[in-house]
Amino acid sequence: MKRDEIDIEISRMLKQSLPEAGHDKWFTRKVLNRLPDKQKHSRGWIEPCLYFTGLLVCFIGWGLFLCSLSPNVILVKDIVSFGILTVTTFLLIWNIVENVFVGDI
Amino acid sequence: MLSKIDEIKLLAQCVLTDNRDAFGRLVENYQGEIRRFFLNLTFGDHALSDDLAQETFIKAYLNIRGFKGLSRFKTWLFRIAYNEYYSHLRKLHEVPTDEQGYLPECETVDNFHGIDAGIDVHKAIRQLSENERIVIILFYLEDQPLKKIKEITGMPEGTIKSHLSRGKEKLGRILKTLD
Repeated sequence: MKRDEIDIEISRMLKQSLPEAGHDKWFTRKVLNRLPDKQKHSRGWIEPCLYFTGLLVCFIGWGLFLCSLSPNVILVKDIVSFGILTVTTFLLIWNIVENVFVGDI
Repeated sequence: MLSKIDEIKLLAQCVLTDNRDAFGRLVENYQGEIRRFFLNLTFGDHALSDDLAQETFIKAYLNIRGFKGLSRFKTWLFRIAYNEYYSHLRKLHEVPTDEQGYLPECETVDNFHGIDAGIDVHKAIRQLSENERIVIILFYLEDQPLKKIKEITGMPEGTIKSHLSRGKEKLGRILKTLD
């Protein structure tokens, strides 16, 4: 339906006379505050599998490390290996505990 | 004003990663139009129109995965806004709809006789029925073409033209009275 002159006149009249909403700088914030909490996405079976594999690798790593230790000599590589294994194990366990308490897995 | 590509990018971010900042940008872009739409439907009630507008965006967020991209996001948003207004009216008046689900044509008071020149456009708009008012606002204020109004309201094109014609006639009478 094409707009004729009367349509243009009515449109002009209404736009001039009826109120504009104006920009409300808080409106977006109000909307975002009312949105539901973000859902943590469940990654299904992949995440538990990865954690289990990580734990297994850590366990094997600790086993190899302890077997490779010399009784009376501590080498630099032993200290480095110990450090890496400790940090990795700690991070892995921390992630598992966090996700278990949050309920993701 | 967001381009179509920017809009698609923001929508993709909302759907895929629940990016609230992206949704915030969409809200920021369309808040003026949606709030104005409700402001004119509610006869200038800022509090009510803001509340309805907020509900519209919240519903849009909750159903964003249902947006298929067949129409522009703005048209979809106006569809939600229209439904939101419809729900508000039903709660307010408990008005039954006809078989096709349309609001009844309200009796309009003809105040044109002995009217003083001070009748403003707001009062003129009030003379229209709900359906006429919605169609007039969408067509003349929001510059929506008939095809989009059909998508927004779900009314057949013939019905929209009929409402538009009747509403225009009533407004035309008021314009003549003001002259």
